[in-house]
Amino acid sequence: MKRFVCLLLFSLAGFAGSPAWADAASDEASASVDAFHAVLLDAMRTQGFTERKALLDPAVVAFFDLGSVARISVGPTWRSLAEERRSAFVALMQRLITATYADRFDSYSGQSFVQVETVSASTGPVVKTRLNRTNDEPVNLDYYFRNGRVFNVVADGVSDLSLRRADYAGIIREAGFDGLVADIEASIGELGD
Amino acid sequence: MPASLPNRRSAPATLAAMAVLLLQGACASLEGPDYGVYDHAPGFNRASFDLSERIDNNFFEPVARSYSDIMPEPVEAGVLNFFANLRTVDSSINGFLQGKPKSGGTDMMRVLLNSTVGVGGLFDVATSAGFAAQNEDFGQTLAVWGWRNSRYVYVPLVGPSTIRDLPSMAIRAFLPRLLFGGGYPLWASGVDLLATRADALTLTDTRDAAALDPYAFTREAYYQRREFRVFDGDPPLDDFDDFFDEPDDP
Repeated sequence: MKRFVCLLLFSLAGFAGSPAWADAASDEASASVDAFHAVLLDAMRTQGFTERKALLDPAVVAFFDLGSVARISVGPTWRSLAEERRSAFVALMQRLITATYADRFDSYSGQSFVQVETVSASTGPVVKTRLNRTNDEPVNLDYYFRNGRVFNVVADGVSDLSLRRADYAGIIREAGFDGLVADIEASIGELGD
Repeated sequence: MPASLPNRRSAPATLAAMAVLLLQGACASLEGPDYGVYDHAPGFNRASFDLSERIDNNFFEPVARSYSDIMPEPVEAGVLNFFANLRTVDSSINGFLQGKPKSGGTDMMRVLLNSTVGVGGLFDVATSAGFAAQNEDFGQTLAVWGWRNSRYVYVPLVGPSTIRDLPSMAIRAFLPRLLFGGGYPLWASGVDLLATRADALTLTDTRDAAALDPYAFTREAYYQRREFRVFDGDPPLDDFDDFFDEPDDP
């Protein structure tokens, strides 16, 4: 009996350590990152900011949890926004993220992505990757998933979402939500110059 | 009335007040940027940042850009390598102080190799020989010894720091003079400063393109980057689950 209980506990511990659904979620997240990186590499080889945006836009929509990104970036003010304003802001985030990637990943010079490992966080899988560059140090890129989509990208320890949230907090305090929207619109306009 | 310890009667009230303050603190951390709570002098720091940015935009940045344009890439890299090699002494000592003999030894090997085979530190031959830079400093040592996040300070014309990291900043700035003594020429400090600013151009350009509030952006990035360094590039996994505690609706 004692042996049976031990075996039961052992098998339960094994199950809890690596449940099948967690493995499936990790595999899906890993495949999703590979697909996104493939689009980024394509974008780097594509001439023209508008062309790169067109290539990246569907990938950004499929890859990111834009609703969570928008809500968390805005912070507590989100609660006071009407549904239409929330939807408009989610669309604005989509344009900003797409334009930022199109602006940053604008030329190919031998860069490559490798997946390092996938670990589990309470929110979902975290896919750890590395961007190798030919004439520069590699960059660690960690993708945080929740419900199958990415809500945060951490580059060499710096969280994109935390930065955005800190960046927007002061603007909302000084100029309100409308001021924030105007500033983001202006920022998108400056990208790709 | 002289200050005194709370008496028995007022102790529960004091505890209750402390609990409320702690709760407010916890809520504040959910309602705002994480590291903003360490910015105890935002007025001074923001003024210091604005002044530094104005001077940088009008003087240091254009000069650094010209330097970067004129200098051939290998020369620029050589100058950076030379000063980085001097500061590796500081990194090595701090590796040992943090109880990481492997890290301290790696940096020691870097200094030996780069100072000899690397022609006085102009070439980084150590990295390709398997001795990667450990990038330790005294601020990280203090963090490893238990002084975690501390108050934010934006040092005029120098940049973001914390009270904990200030001594480290001073040590690194004056290290070449400490190593060479009085024979270290002033112009060398100027070249060091110029090369460092030129090296940071990509970073500041990226920030300027991305940030709507460059002050808050810089502060947040500084704290996160320091945390990354303190844990040698492998910090404990942050779930960011606090972000999902906020209700969508009031």
